[in-house]
Amino acid sequence: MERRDFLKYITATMSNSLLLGLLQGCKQTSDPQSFEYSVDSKNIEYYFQINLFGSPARWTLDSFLKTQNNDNYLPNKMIGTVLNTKSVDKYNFPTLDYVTVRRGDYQVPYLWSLPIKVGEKIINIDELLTNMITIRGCDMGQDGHELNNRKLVAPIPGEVSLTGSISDISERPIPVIHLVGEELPSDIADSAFKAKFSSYAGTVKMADQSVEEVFKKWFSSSTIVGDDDLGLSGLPKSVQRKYKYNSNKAKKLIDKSFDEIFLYFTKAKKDYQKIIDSTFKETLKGINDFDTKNIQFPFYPNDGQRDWDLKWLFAKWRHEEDILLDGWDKAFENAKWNNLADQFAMTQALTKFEIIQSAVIIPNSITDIFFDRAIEIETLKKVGDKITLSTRPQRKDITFEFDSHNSGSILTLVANTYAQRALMGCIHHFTDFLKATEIDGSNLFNKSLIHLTSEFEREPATSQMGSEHGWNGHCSTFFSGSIKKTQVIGNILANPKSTMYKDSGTWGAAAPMKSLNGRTLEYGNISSTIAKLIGIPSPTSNRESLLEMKNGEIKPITIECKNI
Amino acid sequence: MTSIKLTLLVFLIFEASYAAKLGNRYFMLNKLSSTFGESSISYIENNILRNGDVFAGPCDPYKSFQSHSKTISKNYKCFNGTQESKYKYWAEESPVRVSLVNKTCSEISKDQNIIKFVKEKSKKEGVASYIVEKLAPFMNVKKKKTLLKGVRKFVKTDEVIYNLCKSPFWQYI
Repeated sequence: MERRDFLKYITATMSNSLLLGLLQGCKQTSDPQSFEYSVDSKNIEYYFQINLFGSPARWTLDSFLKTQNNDNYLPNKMIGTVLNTKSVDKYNFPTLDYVTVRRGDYQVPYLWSLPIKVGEKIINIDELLTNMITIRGCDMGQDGHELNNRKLVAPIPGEVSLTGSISDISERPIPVIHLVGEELPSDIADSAFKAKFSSYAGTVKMADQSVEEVFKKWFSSSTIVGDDDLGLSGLPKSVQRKYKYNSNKAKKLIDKSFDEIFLYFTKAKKDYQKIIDSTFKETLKGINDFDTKNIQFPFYPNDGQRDWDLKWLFAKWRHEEDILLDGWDKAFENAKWNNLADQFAMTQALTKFEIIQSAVIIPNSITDIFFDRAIEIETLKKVGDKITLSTRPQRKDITFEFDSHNSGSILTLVANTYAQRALMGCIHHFTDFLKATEIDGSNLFNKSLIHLTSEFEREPATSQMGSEHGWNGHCSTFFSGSIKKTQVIGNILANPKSTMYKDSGTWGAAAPMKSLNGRTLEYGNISSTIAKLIGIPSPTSNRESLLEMKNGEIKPITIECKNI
Repeated sequence: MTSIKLTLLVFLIFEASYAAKLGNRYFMLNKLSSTFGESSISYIENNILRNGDVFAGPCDPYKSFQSHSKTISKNYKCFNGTQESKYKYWAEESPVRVSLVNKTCSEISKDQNIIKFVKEKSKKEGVASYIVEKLAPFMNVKKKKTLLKGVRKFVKTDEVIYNLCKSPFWQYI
């Protein structure tokens, strides 16, 4: 072969293979029969993400900071799991203690020892620990709520999301549904959905549409005689295939009775609402079973100073520009977690009737928290050695934002304990439903992965005034029937060189791991883990999975879990 | 060798470049309302126009004119906010779309006013031919004959309306 011919041949071959590759790519997207993946019954089949937008402090729940009594742990006054009224600070205010209880091989935060009473029934939330693995100390790499929230489903911006890949392998008519709380911004996890083949994911902004409207929209049944193939023969073959594929899936929507599904949803919603309301109605021992009559005005700090910064002095009791004085024990009695019962009940109903494969629940903040007496910091006056009020305290109604920059240590503890306990109650009830639903000789809980997550942990202020974004310390918790033993994975820094505060103590910042060749854990590891368990391609294939499915059981690949 | 590859390449380019487009929500409005009359617009609005996330079709945020025609006043209207102006121009097939078209057509075919309207309009050519001609005026004669042959099994008018309305033959452009 002459040099000229050789070059011609090489050029033609290269351009042909490039074009063929491109063309095959185009054809794949329009032809559902060329799907590469399918649901494998050996893997996890259902994925539910509970995505706490705003990043609440999770040291009260599943961001385990001291898994063993002898762990290297540096306390921070803001990080507490109980309010110790017997121990007081220099102003006679109660202090926060990081108290843990023993469950299995681990010390877990105090909250897990508080069962929920729902009428006559008792929900022992610590039962969930048996089927739970927590991955802590994950460095998200960047700050930002929206950006990191989208990352929770699509770790590589603009690329196929985890939910998108699930959608591609699913036979369900609405493979993925996003249930977004009414007060949340528009550019969060639901907007990051991207699939290779499927184009539609159900997104329900809870306020815009009532659940009844949504169900009415999706479920239609017709009593008129129909022919699904009419007019199909005139269309190109690829279009026919795609239409038939979607039409077969649509039958699951068309054949379902709206009344039956809506009735089931309404009943399920009542159950979830009852759990949330019961949780909020209780006064919790060690959390808010105290009064604050010790803050009486005029208030004498007795610390030998005269020029107090009042925000700092009352930091513990702070919420935004207010100091919350009395009524802590009953503050949550009428609190509302809007949409949460709807979100869980919808997920349950749509799973039960085989409509969805995956759901992303993004809850609202908690509203209607009432305090008997509150004062605005501005209205306090410094007079000599005392602090007086210039106006009378007022009854105050607050909303607890998970992004609690300006919530003092006591509100952070009390509100998060109430919210997280209610959430655990709902997850427990949801797992009961999954356990009771049979599938292929097993139950749905064994085939499901419930992923509790938020953008990042929080880095506490030493002043106890609030907390900042701890974006170098994310935590993801998984619940599944295929998890048979509690496990905590991930190294955290015992004394991090803080990004925001000095001496912030142990709060969950990522530390290097030997099993990752000295690298810190990244969200890519968590997304690879989810992908591996479900059997979909990892969007971050260059990052190792931390868990694997072995003989029907989810087991850790690494068990490294240290405070360094 | 090279010529075979080139032939294959041309064939693949032809094969891959052909992609049928699925009409968006305004296309659906115009086709269905012109065929089944103004009585059908409320069903189209509830099931199709208000579901831009399923049917695509960017709305016109500057559209403020009103018209005597119900169809024109809803054309390019933003139903759930101006963010709908960012929707794609072409729709994609999905189970929810199939279900919603099915629902719209079921409601249309049960409406006695619409049945009366269609019967009046189709006195000359018959209900099936009228609907096919309205929904797909440029359809190939051979394909049209095959389609009409397939409709013959439906005797009742509501069945003819329902099946032709939900059929994909006219929804692809």
